[in-house]
Amino acid sequence: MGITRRRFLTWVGAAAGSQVVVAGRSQAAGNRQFPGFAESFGVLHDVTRCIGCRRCEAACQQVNGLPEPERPFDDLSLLQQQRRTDAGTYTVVNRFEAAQGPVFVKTQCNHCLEPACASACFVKAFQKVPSGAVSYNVDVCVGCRYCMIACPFNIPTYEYDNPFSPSVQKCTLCQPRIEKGLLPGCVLACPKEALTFGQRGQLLQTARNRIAQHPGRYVHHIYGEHEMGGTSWLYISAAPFREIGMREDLGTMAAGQLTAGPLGAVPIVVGLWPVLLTGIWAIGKRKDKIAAGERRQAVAEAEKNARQAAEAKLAGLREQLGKEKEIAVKLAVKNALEEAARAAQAEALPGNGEPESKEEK
Amino acid sequence: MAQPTPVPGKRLLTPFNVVTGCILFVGLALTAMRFIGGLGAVTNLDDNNPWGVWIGFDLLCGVALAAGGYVTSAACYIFGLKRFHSAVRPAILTAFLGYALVVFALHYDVGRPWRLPYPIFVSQGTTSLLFEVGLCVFLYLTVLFIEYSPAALEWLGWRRARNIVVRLTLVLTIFGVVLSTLHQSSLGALFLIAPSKLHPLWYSGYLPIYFFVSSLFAGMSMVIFEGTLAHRYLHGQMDEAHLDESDGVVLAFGKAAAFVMAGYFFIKIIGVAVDDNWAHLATGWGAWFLVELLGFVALPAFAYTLGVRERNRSLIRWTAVWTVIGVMVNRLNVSLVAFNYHLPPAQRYFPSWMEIATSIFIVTLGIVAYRLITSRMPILYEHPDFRHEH
Amino acid sequence: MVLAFVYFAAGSDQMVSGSGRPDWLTLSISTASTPDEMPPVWFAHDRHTDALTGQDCTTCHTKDEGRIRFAFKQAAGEDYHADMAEFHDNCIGCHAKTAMQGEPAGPRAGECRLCHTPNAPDRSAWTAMRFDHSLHARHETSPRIGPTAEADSANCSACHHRYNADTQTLYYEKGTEGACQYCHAPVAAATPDDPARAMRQAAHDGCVSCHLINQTQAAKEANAKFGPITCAGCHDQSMQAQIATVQPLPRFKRNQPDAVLLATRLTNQLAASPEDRAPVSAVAFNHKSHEANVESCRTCHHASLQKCSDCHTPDGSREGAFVGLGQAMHVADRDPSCIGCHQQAQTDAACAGCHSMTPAPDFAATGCQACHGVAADEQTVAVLTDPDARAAMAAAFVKRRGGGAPLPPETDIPEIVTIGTLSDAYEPVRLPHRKIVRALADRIAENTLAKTFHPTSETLCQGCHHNAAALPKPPACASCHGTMTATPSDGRPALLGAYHLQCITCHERMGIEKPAATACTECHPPRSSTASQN
Repeated sequence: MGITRRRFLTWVGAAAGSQVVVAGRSQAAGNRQFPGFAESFGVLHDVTRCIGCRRCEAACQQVNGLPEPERPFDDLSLLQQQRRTDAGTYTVVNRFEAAQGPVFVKTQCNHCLEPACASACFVKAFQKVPSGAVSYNVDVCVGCRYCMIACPFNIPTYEYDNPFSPSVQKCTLCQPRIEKGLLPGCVLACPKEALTFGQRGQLLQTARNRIAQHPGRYVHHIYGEHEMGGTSWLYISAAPFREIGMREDLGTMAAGQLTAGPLGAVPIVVGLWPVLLTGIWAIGKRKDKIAAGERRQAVAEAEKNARQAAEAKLAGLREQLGKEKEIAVKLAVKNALEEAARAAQAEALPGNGEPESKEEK
Repeated sequence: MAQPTPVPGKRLLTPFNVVTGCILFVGLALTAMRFIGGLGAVTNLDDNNPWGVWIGFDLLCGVALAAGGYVTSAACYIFGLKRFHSAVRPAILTAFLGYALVVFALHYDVGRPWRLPYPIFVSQGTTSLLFEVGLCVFLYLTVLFIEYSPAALEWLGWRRARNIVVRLTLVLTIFGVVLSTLHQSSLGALFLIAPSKLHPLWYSGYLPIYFFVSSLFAGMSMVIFEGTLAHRYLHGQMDEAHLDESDGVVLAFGKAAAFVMAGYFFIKIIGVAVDDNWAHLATGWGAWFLVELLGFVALPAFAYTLGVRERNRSLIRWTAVWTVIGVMVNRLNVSLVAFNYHLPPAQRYFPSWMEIATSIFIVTLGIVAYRLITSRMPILYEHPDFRHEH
Repeated sequence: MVLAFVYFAAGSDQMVSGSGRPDWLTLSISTASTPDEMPPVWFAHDRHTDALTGQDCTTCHTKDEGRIRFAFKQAAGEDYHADMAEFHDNCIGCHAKTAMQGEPAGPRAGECRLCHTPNAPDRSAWTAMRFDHSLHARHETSPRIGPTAEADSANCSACHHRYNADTQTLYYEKGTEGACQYCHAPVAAATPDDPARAMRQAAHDGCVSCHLINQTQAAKEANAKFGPITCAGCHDQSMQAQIATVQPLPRFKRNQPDAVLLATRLTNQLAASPEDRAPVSAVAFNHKSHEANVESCRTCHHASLQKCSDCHTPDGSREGAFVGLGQAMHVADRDPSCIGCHQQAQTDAACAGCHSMTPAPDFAATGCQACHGVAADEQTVAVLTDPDARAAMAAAFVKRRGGGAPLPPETDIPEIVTIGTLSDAYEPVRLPHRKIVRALADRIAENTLAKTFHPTSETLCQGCHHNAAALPKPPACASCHGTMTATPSDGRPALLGAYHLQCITCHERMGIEKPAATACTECHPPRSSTASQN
């Protein structure tokens, strides 16, 4: 896939054009960071300027055709409770009590430079497009909700009550409007310019200028400049961000880098495991083979020894038999001779059957 | 010898059948509710807690406990421990059913289940660990099916096909171990992307290694545990070899599990040390972490050791149950308990009874399928026509 | 060295009096070798002084040359166990004795944890005592306090002293008085190297002893006044508020100048070779008016009463913590610097409306010459070496300053300005222009600092009509903020944002609660049919 980067010379002159983008690529290894698309857009939210009028919420509902809320947008008593975005609400303004008094903060998708949702999505439904938005493609979404697990800002929401075509819902940075050269709805509606739309690099400059020109007013931190690898939505505030519901412990590593290690290990496992396992199997086989050979040898040896022993035994037996035979022959000869002698004696003494009592030998 | 298949209609109203019938009926009703009213109708999921017990239990525990398949087949065919041969087929069947049920359960959890093949066939999000899990589970399920098929082919009497498959045994086993290594570890790595949400004691760069290593002893313990159950309830279907070898399997797997658990215990400690999380151990979360690590890893490992040394088979069998519960505790901790630990209690997730009932329904399906298959196919015994052909 | 420490429980200055106690102290015996096995004891001092009415301080404290030493008398601070036994015997013994007499009494033996608790049993409402200009004046003029040194004819020597390291004695020297904390560090204990006791100890031993002596004196006379002798008397916020202030404030008697010509840079430049010279205009500093408007001398003279440039040399020196003179005077976010303090003054509700909108430090409206008004010309150079002439020159410049400026005639100030920008949704806004101008002018007139820095009426206009030349008829807002959308490159808001930022921010900062920021229709009268805004 090729990247065609459109240069937005000025946002006013922006004309829509088709683009094919490979986005949210995590670098599996190496010290490489994606600095964000050049000249991509973002929004600077100056929290000190927000008065909590909820006009951004109203505009958001209008330009995105979201369902009408139960309570109208000019009902500011809603600010008494902490709210979050949901499937029918892309942005909410919350009120916090800080040392400076009440502070209002708008929450919506921060459109990370290297989005956790895009890194986590296994069908590439999320893409960081060059204009700055993190877009969502409902046509491939399976609805696994891993993006919601991954998002450090708890932004994506889900249509839990939709049985057949539930989808993830979140702010789009009004990408369709940007492509037409229009401002995002919330920015256009903000009466106090608490939201400034522009190229992210310039917004950073603006934020730095404001911090420098009003010493003591702002905390010296542009939220979103480095958080989770940077976001297109930037915040400056008088109250410390942790006191106005924003986490300061997210770190600066883009989400893709968090999982780069295990992903990088995949080819290693695929490459080495079969080798190792086959090796183990082969060693086992060889051991079996050697054992079998040794067994055969031992059997042959034993057979040979047995044969020799048997032969020796046989020879001994034969010898013994021979001896016994000889003795028997001798005995038989002797007996025969004696028999013969007795017969001769009996013939020599007729009528007198009594033998001599004594006979010399 | 093969038992004759039970005649249908004969003693249908056994307690087992009644309970199973009730569970299946409730499960079907919940299935209808989920697909008519959406996820919100049956689950307590919300925008802060997108994953619940269907992921934490059905997927994470299901896959971990189905690890007996690759462990046993690897022991038998790669490490050449032939005396486990009789344990391989039940383990493979359990793994196959386990994975099939995991995939089945995912149809409940994801928003558009008919798109589950999308990551593989339509749009490949290769930067995602979930993609790796999906691809590996898909491939491994195929491998398991092929590994299990000889039993079916013997039952069908398709000698030639069966012999071809049997010749592939080694390749399939190696492929199975590779795939298992990858996705068992990836299930842990899934949570690496959310360091800000998972309590530091459970979040670690070693999560994938923890999941892989714990799947080893989870698999071994499951083999012991299933063997125990099969002995108790399916004793009549076993042949001489199976009965003769079963004690050896229990002792050997108990010994191996004790070793692996000892190693696991040490790498968990190393993980705490590497991230310098000692201070967290003194908190309430730390106490719970220690319950998991000491109560469900160190102690069972010791009990296994004792059982092996004293040749006390019933101790080993009980320890297997203990270990299996321990692995479930770990998986639920990572996915539900220690996840979103920073949120106030009101915003935390607790499953609805319907979610739990659905999970029970899916497990029950597995048990029913296991019984159906073992009562018909040569799993717990060797087919008389194919004896001594391995 | 073994010491018995008494820690005062410091409370935050925002403590609301009426909840919590101002008199909590923690008692703990600490030694290097024996750590406390129990948490410290939380001791409510005023509760005990109230309970011991009729007894004097020597019940618990020692007297030394007629002055009370405010450490517990029995704790010699030499042996851990001995001290612990002393505390236990005395405290518990007294509690037991009181209980025997049927009076309510404190915890007794066996009730260890009632005294030894890790946290204060009740919130601490302790508030630091600020010995400000007015309080100083009251002590200075008090007839009860007399001089204690022969060289002194006023009350100064009663408190102010110097230390002779050779004889290790205190002595008084006229004309060298300074703030206590120049020598007495807030909480550091005395060491052989730095024998000055901690401010905390010095203040209690000095002030409270003196108040006690005066109390006995006053008891003999009717309606005579004496200073506080309880913790709450000084450290409770509501009690502090009751201390009468002196009006008008008298000047300090330290021979300080009324006006100073600050010309360190210029003097140094003259020493440089002619081609390296870039003379800096001198500043005529109104010492007198600053004296009257700051809390104490230490506000500016934070380490000593010397000239700033003695430590803060132009290039910085070790004595001045390497803070150069320019930095010391101009750092915008540090309190002791001129500009830092003036910035701080701009956060006052009367000023913040305009000044929170203008970038700081805002030299655009006034330029450097607002302060550096004494040109580096020959006339100035001529007086540099003559102190009297310098002072006279500075005084002359100061005198010319700060008259403020009269407003242009009413007719030149438009009364109502109609803004019709959002007329598709609302009726036009009618801005009460003249009323706003008057309100701002009135606030400037009340304040010397404001008068000095708003030398012309156009300076006032610049609050809203910023970034335009100070003209009698400034250009319309739309001439710069013409687009309805912002251009972030220069940070300039678009018209919608410009109006709302200007009006709403100003109202918020000046504490004007009506109309509320979100009450659109209170400025924009509603139209019968509201069109969409897109």
